[in-house]
Amino acid sequence: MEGCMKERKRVYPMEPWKIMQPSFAAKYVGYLVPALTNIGKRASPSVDRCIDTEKIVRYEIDMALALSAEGFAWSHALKHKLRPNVDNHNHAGKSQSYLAHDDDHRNTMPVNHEPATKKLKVDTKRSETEAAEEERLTYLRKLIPGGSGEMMVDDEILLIELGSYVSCLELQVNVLRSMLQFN
Amino acid sequence: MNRALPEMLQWQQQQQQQSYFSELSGVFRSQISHLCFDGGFMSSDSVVTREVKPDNNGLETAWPEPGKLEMGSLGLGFEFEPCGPSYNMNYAISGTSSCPPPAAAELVTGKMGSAVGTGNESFKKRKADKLQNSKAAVEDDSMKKIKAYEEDGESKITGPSNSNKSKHKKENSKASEVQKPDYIHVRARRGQATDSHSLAERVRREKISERMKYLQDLVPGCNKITGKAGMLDEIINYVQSLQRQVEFLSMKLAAVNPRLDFNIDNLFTKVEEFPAVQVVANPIHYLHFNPAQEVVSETALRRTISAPVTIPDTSFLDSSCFAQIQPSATWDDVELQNLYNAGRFH
Repeated sequence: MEGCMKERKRVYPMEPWKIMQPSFAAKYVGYLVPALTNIGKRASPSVDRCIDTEKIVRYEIDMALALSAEGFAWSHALKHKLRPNVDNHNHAGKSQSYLAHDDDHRNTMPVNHEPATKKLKVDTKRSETEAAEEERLTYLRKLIPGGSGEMMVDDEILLIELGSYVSCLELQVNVLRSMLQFN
Repeated sequence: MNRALPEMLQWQQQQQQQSYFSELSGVFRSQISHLCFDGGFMSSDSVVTREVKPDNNGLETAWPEPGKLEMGSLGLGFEFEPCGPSYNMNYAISGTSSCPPPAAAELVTGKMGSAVGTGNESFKKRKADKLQNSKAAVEDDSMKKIKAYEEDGESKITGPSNSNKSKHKKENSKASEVQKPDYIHVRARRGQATDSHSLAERVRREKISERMKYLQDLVPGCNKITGKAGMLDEIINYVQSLQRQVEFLSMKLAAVNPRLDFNIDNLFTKVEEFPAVQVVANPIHYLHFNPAQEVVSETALRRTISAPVTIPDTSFLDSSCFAQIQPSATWDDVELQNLYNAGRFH
């Protein structure tokens, strides 16, 4: 698409991930394999380090995702979360906090939307369904990295980013599965 | 006039700068008020310009903003063709603009000289009767949008342009326009509000629903679900399940990690065959990199990635740089760097 009138708004092609899909897996593996072998080399095998290894592996996996999918707002946000810039004092020491925060974030499972949905489907008032949608959108913002940031304030951009994020997650899962398959 | 409109528009696209627009807008407005259209050829508010659209996927002809004003000058030019005083007006307008009006006027008059006569009636007819043919519809739309644009001026471009886009899509709806020069002439749907805010809102909602449809294709099992809330629910569930899978796999990988049995060449063939993960029945081989062979290995990897799905594993093994090695014994930092660099395709 060509540039549009609103200068601040980036116009995204409909399916940007298709452009980068072939190289995603290669980049991902290319980053992750050396990183993991590095970990194995560095760490001395001991029971205490198991948890640390997990965290480091998780970090490397996320980093690989962020680096393999350049050009998306969520990948940018993820990269910044993982690798805080030196000049950005707000994010100093964020990597540790990222891992800690991440666990918390994942452990607090979301509110079960199921009963709310059914109830609202019966209710025909438009404002309530809109509120439900808003609720879901805000929840989605928490799921996607950078969803609460200023880049994705617009709902439309959020949905676009969601598309690329979902497909990259799928690719990542495939890569990880195949990495584990032959070990 | 309307026959040549698309051609002129396209001609315009290549020529003009946006600066013309701002220059000429003032010019136009002041001069239009002085125009007298003889014979009701065209009402004063229907000055020709094209709408501005941020993205043109709604239209078959791309009408970018820059040429819009030039379009206006040309339009005025050819419309004034039959009228004496207005012909001078054309020159006056051309004089003030820095675009090539004489050439344009010639081009226009050449085309429109014949069409002008017939243009009057047909134009009026077209206004009343929306869809004579697709071309007429397009031109008709252009007239509407032109009106809308002209009335509002620069500051409201996005509003009418967005609403124009929706109008264009709803060509079969009845027009609810009024021939008043001060109003936005917007073609609204039946029974819908016609103010610019709600129209822009509607366009936004349509874009969002478009994105939702795309997401529906992406997330498996969403075809039966209608309604935004349900769809968002499904998307949430899917994203969460993917994230949980990644977490689980990472834990598994961490457990496996000390062994470092990464089957790289098989891995690379597999990454080509995504999304279907296939079992490759081959003996396990390890890549052995050393500085001298970095280039070779890199090209081998590149060959892998660029090759189509059916590349066999044996092609890897032909290369002399592959050999079985102990997993961790021969890795050192240099080799790791090479592997890492080789894996980076930019």
